Amino acid sequence: MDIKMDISILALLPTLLPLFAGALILIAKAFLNEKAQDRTTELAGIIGLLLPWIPMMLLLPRILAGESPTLVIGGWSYGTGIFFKFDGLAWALNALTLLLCAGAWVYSRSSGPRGPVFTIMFLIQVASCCAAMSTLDVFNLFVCMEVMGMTSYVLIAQAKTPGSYVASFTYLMSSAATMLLFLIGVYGLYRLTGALDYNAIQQFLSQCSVEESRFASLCAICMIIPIVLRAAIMPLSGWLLLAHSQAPHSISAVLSGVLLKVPLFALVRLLLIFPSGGTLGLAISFAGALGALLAVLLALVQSDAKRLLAYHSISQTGYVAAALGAAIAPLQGSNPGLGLVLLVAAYLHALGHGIFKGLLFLSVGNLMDVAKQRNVYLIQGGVSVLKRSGDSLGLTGFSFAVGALSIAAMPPFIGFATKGYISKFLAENHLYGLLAAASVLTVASFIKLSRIFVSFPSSSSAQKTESNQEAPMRKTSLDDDHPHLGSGRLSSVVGLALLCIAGGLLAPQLFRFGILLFDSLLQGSPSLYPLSVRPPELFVLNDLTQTALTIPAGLIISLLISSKTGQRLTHGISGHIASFETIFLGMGVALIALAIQI
Amino acid sequence: MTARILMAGIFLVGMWGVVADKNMMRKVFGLTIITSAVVLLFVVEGGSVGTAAPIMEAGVYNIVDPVPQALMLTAIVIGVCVTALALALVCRIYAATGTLDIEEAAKRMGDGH
Repeated sequence: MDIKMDISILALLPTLLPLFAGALILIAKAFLNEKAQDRTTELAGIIGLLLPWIPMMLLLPRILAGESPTLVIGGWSYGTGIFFKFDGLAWALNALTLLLCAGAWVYSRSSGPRGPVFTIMFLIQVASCCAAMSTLDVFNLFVCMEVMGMTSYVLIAQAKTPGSYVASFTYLMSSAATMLLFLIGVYGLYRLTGALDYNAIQQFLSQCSVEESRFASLCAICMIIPIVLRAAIMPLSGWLLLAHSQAPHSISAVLSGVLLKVPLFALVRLLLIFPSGGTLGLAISFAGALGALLAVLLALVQSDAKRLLAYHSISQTGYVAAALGAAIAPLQGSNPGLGLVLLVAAYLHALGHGIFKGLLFLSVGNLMDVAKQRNVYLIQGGVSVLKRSGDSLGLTGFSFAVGALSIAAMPPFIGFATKGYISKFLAENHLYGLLAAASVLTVASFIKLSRIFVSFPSSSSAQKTESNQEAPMRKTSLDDDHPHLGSGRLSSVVGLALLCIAGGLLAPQLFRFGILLFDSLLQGSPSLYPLSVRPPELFVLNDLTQTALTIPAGLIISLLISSKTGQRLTHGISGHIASFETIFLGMGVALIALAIQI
Repeated sequence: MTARILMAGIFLVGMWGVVADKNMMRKVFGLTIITSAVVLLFVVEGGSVGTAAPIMEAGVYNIVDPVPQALMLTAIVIGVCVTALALALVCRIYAATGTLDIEEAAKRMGDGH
């Protein structure tokens, strides 16, 4: 019994180790000189981002055996203290967080920002992400979400540009105001059930009256809206464009890969306790699929490279939301086996998107820093420009190609497998058409973006450059102060590119691993998806033909958009920045749409 | 009921400040007002079940529900942090762009470089 308790305590370490590492930096900042501070910051990064893997690996056999280590922090009685449950979902999301944050941190050590304040905030963010997935208490979820939010606001502002301050302020105001809606939902649930922990609330709701169930659904809506805003699902994604495009490159990668996904998977836990969770899940699924299409349409017309990538974050998160939302009703009982495979497909795409989008932000960031330019129509010959800045092997260009092929769902990269799984399991769903159209447009968008690496300056673009962006482009001649790409920058993009390849090749194994991890979510049910069942086959002629057809379709759309007429027609849309009114109008629309569902 | 209607009014006033006012300082004030309305809501709810302070001693009966009050201590701390951070950002934006109007600041920020 004692040994079992000790092992359960390990579940706290992925949250505590990053916090401990942050405290170490604070102590070093107070008492040590600059050189020692720098060494302590490196040590803290290792403690906070690598050491948590040890308790996670120790807990993995128990989780795979269907157990979920639980503990109440501080030895308080159940229902009073903070209740932690480290199940397969928590393990999977913690793994995603630690993997992507480690890559982004290595990159930031080379490219900046990298001071003690940055690292402390970064580590607190990691801790809050880990805690959000393990907590089973609605108020603690609120606290974790707020800490995640506050660290994001500070990290975005670390770019120290006017744009980053405005982006951070916009995100702060929209997110903080909607989080109060979450608090009102908590108030309603507490008033109804007299409890804050998921199990007690679920128990109450399973035997409540129709009126009480309807009131609980209203509370659920109040809690869903802020989470959907954090996950940037349309129409609540207005804040994201500024935040992701103005943040430092490493933070853009983390915001896109981790900060959009953790709230979404925390929402799964929450929806599963409500009787109306399935209905609300379907609404989120529809919003996700529609958002996936609309966002990629907007991405196509962008001229700012990072804003284009930001729109793709909304689009790809829409894929994840479409699968996750559709998984809730089956998981609640109608077809747990289907719910489980949808959940696994959603997680794998979240993981895949985290890796390839992180890779795209970092590789495009390398080129933007060297070229001192963000306009995709003005950056030319990226590979040769990068060579002159220390990337003699063309590693950034190669890594970008891997990321672009992944997001465009080309075999054998990870995006092909993860999008393939979602398509297979949603093939009978009416949302499939929206996702298929979004896939074609994604190909078009990345053909357009790829020009920045492969094209060479033409006379017309050179003239345009001289007239429009004289000062920034002069610096691309690299005669004066051109940045040198450090080994940290190159190793992090190459590492992520290798993960994209490995993830694609090992997708069937990852799928089986996901089934084993998430099987424990089906409380009381025997394993519904035995290991003997093979994951769906992806390399079949029909699927490969469909994938091949997206290339010429994407090429035609890309040529149309990139033509002079296309650029002129889309110019007004590409520069649009969401106002506060637009963001809150989106919130109102989402509230009404969800209320209609119940 | 009157108290709850009053709090809904306070909430809407704060929300109007956040959404409709272009001045960033007034937006921060709006956020603080919304936070206060939600805190009041919790405290009033906790007080609806009793009147005495929740001090667990002999002879103390009819206490208010202490859980909402405990929760609100955390929420107030978070609210203060968010407000401080928002004000710091407003200072930085004003120093960089010379305006408190959020739309004007967004126009003047350029491309961030």
